[in-house]
Amino acid sequence: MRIKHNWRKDRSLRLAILIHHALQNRRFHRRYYQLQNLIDSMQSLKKQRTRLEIAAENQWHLAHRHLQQSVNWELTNAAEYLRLAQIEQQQNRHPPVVLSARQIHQELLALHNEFEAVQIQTRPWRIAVTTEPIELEQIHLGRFRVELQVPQLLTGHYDSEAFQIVALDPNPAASNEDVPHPHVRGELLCSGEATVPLGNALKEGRLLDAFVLIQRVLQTYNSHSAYVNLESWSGESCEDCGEEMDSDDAYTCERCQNRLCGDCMSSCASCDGCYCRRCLRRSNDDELLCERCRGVCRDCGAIALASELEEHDGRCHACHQTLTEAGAAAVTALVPTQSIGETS
Amino acid sequence: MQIFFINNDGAGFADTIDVPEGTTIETLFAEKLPGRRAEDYLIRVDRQPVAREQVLTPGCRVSITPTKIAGAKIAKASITAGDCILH
Repeated sequence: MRIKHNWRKDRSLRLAILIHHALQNRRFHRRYYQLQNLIDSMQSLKKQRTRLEIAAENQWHLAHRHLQQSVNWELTNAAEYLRLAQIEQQQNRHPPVVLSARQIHQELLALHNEFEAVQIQTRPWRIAVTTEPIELEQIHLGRFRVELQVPQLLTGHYDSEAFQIVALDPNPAASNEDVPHPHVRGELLCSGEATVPLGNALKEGRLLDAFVLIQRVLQTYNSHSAYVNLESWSGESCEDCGEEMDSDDAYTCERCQNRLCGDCMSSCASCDGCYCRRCLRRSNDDELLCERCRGVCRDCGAIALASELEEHDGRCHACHQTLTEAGAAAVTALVPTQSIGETS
Repeated sequence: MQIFFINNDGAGFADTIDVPEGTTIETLFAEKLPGRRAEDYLIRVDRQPVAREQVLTPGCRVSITPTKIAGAKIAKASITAGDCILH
């Protein structure tokens, strides 16, 4: 007797059918979709150029540096899309085909072979897998739950934004509790070199490939582009430039208490105290002075050593000199007049 | 014969390709990723790990994924006050 499969009760099958229908209706299955990817990438670069200009004009150095890295990644993606678009044109390659609902179902079932724990949840639809404990450069980062937010996927997020990365045994960076992994901030992974293959896997319904790609990124450390480098995982970051630093090498501004790296630390030319640049002012003699050691000339407003001002009755040396000379001139002018009077 | 081949190295290209009968996974790897070491990749046939001498069958699904993929630190750039340091 043939047993009829009740697909309505099979959660993974229902999900496979849902994903298949949603993906099949998306525009990238038309021809020239790599060309469209390239155009999208160029438009993204155009937006980022505007942001770069804003950051440069406002001297938002940290944001500018982040944006430059973002532009670099987008350029890498654009180059890859350009290569693929050329292949697409030369070979008249057919656009990728979305896996059938049955194949997507097989992808979902295969997740059980690859990951320790697999969960499919409804309302909202979510596929969650748990990685094995991850250790990079001898730092234990623990297990991560990788969750594919199906509504995100169905609304066109074919990138790491469709995933939430949750640290199950969190060991975040000491300098930023929001960074549980060098390439995860909050619950968002920056997929780096996996960006293009991940996008293609999601667009085609290759869910197993998508999860494996995320897993491989989590198990790889790229020291050139990490939110927090593992070398300073237990350290802290400079509050001026944002660079990570070893706590033993950090300085504290005596005024605002900000923690600084050696490059951002400055000292007062008078008292030799340790300060950040914002808490120091440059005097007219081109010396950096702290709030306690500096004063403002009561006449010209120039910044000078407080001790010098006190010595000159609250005036800087130049104003004091001018005043002295003016006084002397007045006296000189007065003395001959009296002398003339006396003579006459 | 035709097989479905997925190369997750680089673009993540997936396509149906023609291979001669009797092709092994080792031969296919050497042809598609010349100069690379097989131990640096996860190689799956029909979503299962396989031995390098495994002979491919018509219609099988072969995927090759690097074991190491470099992540980064910026997902999508945005300028917020919190990101900015004013000098």
